[in-house]
Amino acid sequence: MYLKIEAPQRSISKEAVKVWRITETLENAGILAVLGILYYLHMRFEWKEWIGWIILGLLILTVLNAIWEILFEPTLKQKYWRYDVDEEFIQLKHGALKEVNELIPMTKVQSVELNQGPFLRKYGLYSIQIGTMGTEHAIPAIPEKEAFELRDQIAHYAKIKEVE
Amino acid sequence: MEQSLKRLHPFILAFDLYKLIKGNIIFFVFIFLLNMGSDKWWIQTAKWLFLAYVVIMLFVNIGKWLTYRYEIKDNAIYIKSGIFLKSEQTVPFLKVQNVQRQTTVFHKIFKVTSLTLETAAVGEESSITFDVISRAEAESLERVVTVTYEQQVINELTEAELFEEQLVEQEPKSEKTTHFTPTKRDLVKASFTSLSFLILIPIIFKLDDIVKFDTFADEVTDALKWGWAILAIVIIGVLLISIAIGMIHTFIKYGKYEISSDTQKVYIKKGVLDESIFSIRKEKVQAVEISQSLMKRLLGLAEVKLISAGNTTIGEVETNTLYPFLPVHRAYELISELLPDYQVEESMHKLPGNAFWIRMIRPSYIWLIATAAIWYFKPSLWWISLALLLVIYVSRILDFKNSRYLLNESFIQMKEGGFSTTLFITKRSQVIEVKAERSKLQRYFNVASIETVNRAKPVHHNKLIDVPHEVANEFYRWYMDRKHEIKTQ
Repeated sequence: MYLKIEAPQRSISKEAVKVWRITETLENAGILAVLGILYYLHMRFEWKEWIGWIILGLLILTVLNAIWEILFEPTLKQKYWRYDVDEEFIQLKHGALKEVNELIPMTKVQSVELNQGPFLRKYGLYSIQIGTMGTEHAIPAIPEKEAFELRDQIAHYAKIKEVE
Repeated sequence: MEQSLKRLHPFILAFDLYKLIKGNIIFFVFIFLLNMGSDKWWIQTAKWLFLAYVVIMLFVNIGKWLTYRYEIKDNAIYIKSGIFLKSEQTVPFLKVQNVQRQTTVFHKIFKVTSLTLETAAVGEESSITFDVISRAEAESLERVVTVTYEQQVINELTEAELFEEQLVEQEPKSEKTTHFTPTKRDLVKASFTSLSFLILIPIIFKLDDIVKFDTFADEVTDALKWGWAILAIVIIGVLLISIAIGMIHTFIKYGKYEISSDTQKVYIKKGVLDESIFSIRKEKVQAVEISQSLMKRLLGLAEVKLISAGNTTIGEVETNTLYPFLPVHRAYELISELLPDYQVEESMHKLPGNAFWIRMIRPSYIWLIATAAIWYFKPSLWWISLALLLVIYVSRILDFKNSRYLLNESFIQMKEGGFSTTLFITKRSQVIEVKAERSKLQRYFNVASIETVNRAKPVHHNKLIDVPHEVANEFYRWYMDRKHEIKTQ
């Protein structure tokens, strides 16, 4: 009597793309700045040659990574993010290159939390953090009204605990 | 009310003193013995400070002992402690995941023991440790925990079931049965497997420095005729001594192993000098892990571990290992003897051929980085890169050959590993969440990775890569069916 698994349907806000672009830009700029300073120090104090190569290598990798993370990844990530919540399970499906499917029984959910950083606030979004006995999961960008509803829903379902 | 609160055994003061001395022995030797006659001002100051410290600690320990009180109330243990900062702690017995008892040589001298009740919580409050407690008290505490669980089971039964239960109750209750104690032969095997006699090799090298075997060797060549005999005797002698030492070492570590169980719990007892007993309720076993190192695989031995949601170590020592040198078949038997709920199938599914090819083309970052470093720093060592590549590929091929999986009704079995292998077995109801992944490369090869998460400290993730894609789907459905077998409160 196998049930067919319904792939999760609900997607996250399109605005997530913009938020990610901003945060990724800031993050990568930070890493570039640190590497830049290191490279400057390397030239200034004449550190060993191979250190310079490693810094240069990391710089190139960061630039390539930044192009991917700022220009391409946000759209793909948003496009593929899916989640669903019912009485029994929370289902998450995400990943641009690697498809990740997660299945979390409601009875194992320990906490639900809404988070909003400055950029999410700008677009009226929240991220939902779900804590289980083992790990933390986050659904990244959900419009305010939906987010509050979802939180209450999870909190309601999660009240039921298993006999261990 | 105050009357019912109990204090720990007063011998705890002796235990604390012993710990204090043990902890500061180096300092003590340094300032009192090595600098006995010194009148340098700072040595003098250090002496006085040290004495003051010891005296203060003595008072602190007495204070701690006086303020630490516990009682058993409403199926929970309740602890009040703290000299200045008072704290109260309540641990319901139903939260106890496993019980550990350690009887060190110190405890043996005073005929006492120590007891730890482990829960699944995180942080300092997650366990209760009584460092020194009378053996009778430890027994009775453990019994209270067991009785609380029994009570819970009875409460859950309906009246009809209760009636049946009473009928069953008429039969004599099963006593603790011993399932395994190592024989002399097992110990000899163990001492070879653990290669503990190799500890002598560094000593021999040291000896080489002292005796100067080189000059000795010259003399040997001088007197070749009977020199060979001496050399042979020396070599055999060293070998015998090292084997003897290895055996003593093994005996002290594994000599007094005893695996036993009754209807509700499994007990693992070990240690000749410092003795430890780990006990866990059968339904609290989160998973079973069978691991084999390369050496053990060659000799057909295996190590079985019972995974608990509570802590399973005392200091550095893991207490949840059934004997680490069990013959493989005995290991499987033992699991079904100890945990009748667990069905372990020895035949499992192999990975598909695709999984082999994907492993052949998957880039190895370790190798890339190592090779880049060798190429830059010491190109003359190019063969290391080649050797590393060989090792990586041999390991991958072995891993492909060793990997197995099985979804067996409410159980899952996953085996993996190249040179050393682990087989992980758990019940659907004990898995707290699952994950299935597919990278672009895996999608191309039509395979996927599956992962289970189980309660343990730290949380146990068990992942098997490159199972057929359909199996990942089946795995997901299998997990969804858990809702039929869990009981909710």
